Amino acid sequence: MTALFHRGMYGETLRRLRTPALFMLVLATVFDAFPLVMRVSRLSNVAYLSGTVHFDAVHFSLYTIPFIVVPILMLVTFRYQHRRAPSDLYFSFPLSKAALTVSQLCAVLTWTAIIVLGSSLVIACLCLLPVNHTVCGLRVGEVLLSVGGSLTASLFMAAVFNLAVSLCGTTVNTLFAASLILFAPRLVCYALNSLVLECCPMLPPQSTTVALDALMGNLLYGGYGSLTVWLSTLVKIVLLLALSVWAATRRPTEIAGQAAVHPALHIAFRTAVGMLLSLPAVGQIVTFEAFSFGMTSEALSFGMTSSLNLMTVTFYYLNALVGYYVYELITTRKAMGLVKATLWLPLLILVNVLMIGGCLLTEQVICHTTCDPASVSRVELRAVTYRTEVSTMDGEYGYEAFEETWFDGLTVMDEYGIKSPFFYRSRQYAQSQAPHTPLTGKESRELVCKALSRTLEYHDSVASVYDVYRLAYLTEEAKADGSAYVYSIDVVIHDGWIARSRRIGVTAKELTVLLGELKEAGTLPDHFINAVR
Amino acid sequence: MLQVEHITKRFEQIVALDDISCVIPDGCIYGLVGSNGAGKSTLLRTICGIYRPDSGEVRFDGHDVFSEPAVKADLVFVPDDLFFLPNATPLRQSKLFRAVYPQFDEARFAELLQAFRLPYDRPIQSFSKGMKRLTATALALAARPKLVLFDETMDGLDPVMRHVVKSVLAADVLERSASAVCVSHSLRELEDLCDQLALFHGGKLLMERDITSLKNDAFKAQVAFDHPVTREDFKDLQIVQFQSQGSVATIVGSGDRAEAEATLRAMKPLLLDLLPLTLEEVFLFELQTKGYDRLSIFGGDGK
Repeated sequence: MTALFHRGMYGETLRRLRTPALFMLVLATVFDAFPLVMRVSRLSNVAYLSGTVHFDAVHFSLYTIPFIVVPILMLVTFRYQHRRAPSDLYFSFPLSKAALTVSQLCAVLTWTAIIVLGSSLVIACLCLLPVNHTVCGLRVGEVLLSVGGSLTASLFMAAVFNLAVSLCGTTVNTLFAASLILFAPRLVCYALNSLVLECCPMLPPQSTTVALDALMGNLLYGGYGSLTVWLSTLVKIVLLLALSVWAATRRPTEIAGQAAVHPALHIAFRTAVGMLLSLPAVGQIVTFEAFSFGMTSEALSFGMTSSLNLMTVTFYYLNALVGYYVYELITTRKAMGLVKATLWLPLLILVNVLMIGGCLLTEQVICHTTCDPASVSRVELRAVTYRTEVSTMDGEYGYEAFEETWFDGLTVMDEYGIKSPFFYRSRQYAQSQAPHTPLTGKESRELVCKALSRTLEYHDSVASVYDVYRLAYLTEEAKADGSAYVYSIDVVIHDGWIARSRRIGVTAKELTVLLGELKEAGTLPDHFINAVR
Repeated sequence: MLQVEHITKRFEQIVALDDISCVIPDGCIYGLVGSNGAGKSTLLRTICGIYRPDSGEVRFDGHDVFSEPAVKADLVFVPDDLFFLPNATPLRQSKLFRAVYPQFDEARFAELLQAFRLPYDRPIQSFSKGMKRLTATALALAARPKLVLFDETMDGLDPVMRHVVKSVLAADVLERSASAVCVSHSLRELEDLCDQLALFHGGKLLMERDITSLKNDAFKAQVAFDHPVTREDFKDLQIVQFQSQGSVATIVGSGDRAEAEATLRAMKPLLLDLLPLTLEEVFLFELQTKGYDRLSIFGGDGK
C-alpha cells in the first residue's frame, strides 16, 4: 500500500483543501436549505400536513456537486503540476508519482464525500423536522440512492479530471481535455447514430440507442435508478482511474506549462475540437447524400428533392476551423502554433471524410441487407406503430395533411371503444409479451422478409419512410376514400447467429397474419388481437 | 554517496545533459559552476528524481533515485525558483515538509529561523527574495537530509546572511557527514565553501577537481631579473600564461607550487613574489591547459 498511498500527503492535501471545501459545503447546503425552509414556512397556516418528499427534488445540489465541486477541488489540488516551481517541489518529495496522485485524489474524494453527506444530512433533517405541525417524510432508500449516485458521479468526474491532469501541462488544457473526455465520445456517438437512424428509417431507434445508452450513459446525467447506468459508470470509473494513475506515473514532469504530455496528444485534442464543431456539416452532407442517392422521378414528384445548402455547410466548416485555430491559440499562446495546426489540417479533413463515409457505408449496408425466409429461424415482434393518412384538399398526399398516432396496439383498442383492465392497456404489457413468443411459422417468416424487401426497395427511391408507406401500401381505394391504415412494426429477425432489428411496413391484413400466430401461441390476450382486427 | 552514471537528458532537440558521470562522497560540498543553460539545474533536477534521465541512472546510497523514490527522504532540493503554498507562513510550510519528510526536525527548523532572523508566523509572500531563500534553506536543512541540492544558494542574500548560511551548511556537513551540491554562476561564491568543483558547459562536465589540489597545483609568480627574460628562460616550468616587460615577468603555471618556487629561486631573481591565485583564475587556466576557450564558456569578459 505504501507505493500507492502516502498518509502524510493525504493529510496535507486535506489541510490544503479545507477552506475551499468548507466554503462549498456551506454553499451546497444553503443553496437547497433556504428554498426548503421558505417552502415549509409558507405552509404554517395548514393545521397538519403529512406527505413524502422526493429527496433529490429538494436537494438538487446532489446533481451539481459532481459538475462544480469536484472540478474545482481537482484543479485546486493538482494545479501545481502546471507550473514549474510547485511541480519541482512536489515531485522532489520522497514519494512515487502514483502515491502522490492517489493520495491527493483520495483527499479530494474525502472532501467531496463530506460535502455530499454533510449537506444531505442537513437537508434530510430539515425535511423531517416538524415545523409548524408540518411533517414531511423521507424514503430512506431514495435518500441512499441519491447520495450514493451523487458520490459515484463525483468519483467518475474525479477520475476524468485525474486523467486530464495527467495528460496536460496547463489548467486551460486540462479543462479542455476533461470536457473532451466527458462529452466528445458521447456527442460523436449519439450524433452519428442519429444520422444513421435518420438515413435508415427501417432501423428502429431503440435498436441502437438502448445499446448506446448502456455504453455512454453515466450517473453524471442522472439515471440513479438504472442498474445499467450504475454498472456502466462503475466500469468506466475503474478504467479511468487505472488509466489516469498509469498516465500520472508516465507523465514527464518537465511538461509543466506545455499543452500536452506528447505533441501527438495535443494534435489529437485539437482535431477532436475541430471534429465536434464540424459535426453539423457532416450531418448536412450525410443526410443529403443518403437521400439523393437513387432519387426517382416518382419521389421527385412528391417534392422530395433534397438540396444541399452549400452556404450552411460552408458556415459550419468555417465555424469548425475557427474553433480549431482558437483552441491552438488558447492552449499554446504561440502564433507559430497556427502554422503547425495548418500542417495537421488534413487530419481533420480525413476524420470528416471517415465520418461521412462511415455513415453512408452503414446506411448502404443496412439498406441493402434483406433476409431469406429459409435461413431465418424466428422473428420477434417488438412494437407496432399505427399511421393514418388523409388526403389534402387538392387530392395530393402531403406532409401537412399527415397525421400520425403512436400506439402500442391497445391504444387502438381504446379508440374502438373496447374497454380492458388497466393493466392490459399498458404499453409495457404488449411490448413485454410479444417478444416472448417468437414467430417461427413459415407464413410469418415469408411475410416479414417480403415486407423488409419492399420497405428497402422503396426506401432506395424516396427520402422518407412516410413515403415508403404511401407508395407501397396506399391503394387507389384507400386514396379515394381519403384514408388508409398502415402499420409499421419493429421486429427482430434472427438469421443464424445474427439478430437484426428492423422497422418494416405492413398492411393491416399482413399484421393480422402475424398477430394470428401470436394468438395461436396464446401469448397475447384475445382482445388485443381483436382490437387490431 | 551519490553516483551519477552516464546520464543523458534531452528536451526535444536540445541535449541538456550529455553523458554526465560524477561521484559525490559523503561529507562533501560539491560546487557546480557553468554559464546559463549549461545544464546545472537540469542535473540537480535529475539527481533528485524530478526529471527522468533518457539514459543512465542516479544512485543514492546504492538505490536508483527515480525508481525508488523513498530514498529521496534523505535528499532535499532547494530550487532557484522557489515555491511556497499560497498564503503560507514558515510554520504552515513546515507542516508540508513534516508530512513528507519523516526526519523533519521542528526544533532544528525553529533554531534555523532564529539564526536567519526570520519570523515564524508571517506570510512568506511578504518576505523579501533573500528571506524566501533563507526560509527554503531552513526547511531543507531541518528535513535532516544526507544530501542537499542548492540551486543558486546565495542568490539574494546579504553578505552577513551568506556567511551564516555557509557556516550552518559547513556545520551540518561536519556534524552529520551530510553532503551538499551547490550550483552557482560565480566561482568566488563557492570558493570558500566547496571541497570539489565541477565545471559545466553545453550539457557536458568539462572538469571536476578537488579544490585543495587545484590550488596547490597552480601558481602565479612575479619575477624581476637584471637582464631581459623570455618564455624560453622558464622552460623547466609548466607555464600556462606568460607576460614579460623587459626584465620583469608574470608567470602563471601549473604543477606543484613549492617545486615551482624552488625552481624560480634557483634562477637567482632580483625579486620573486608569489601572488595569490583566485579559484576563478586557477579554474580558467586549468581549462586553457585542457584546450577549452574561456571566452566561449564564460562569455565576453571571461568571468
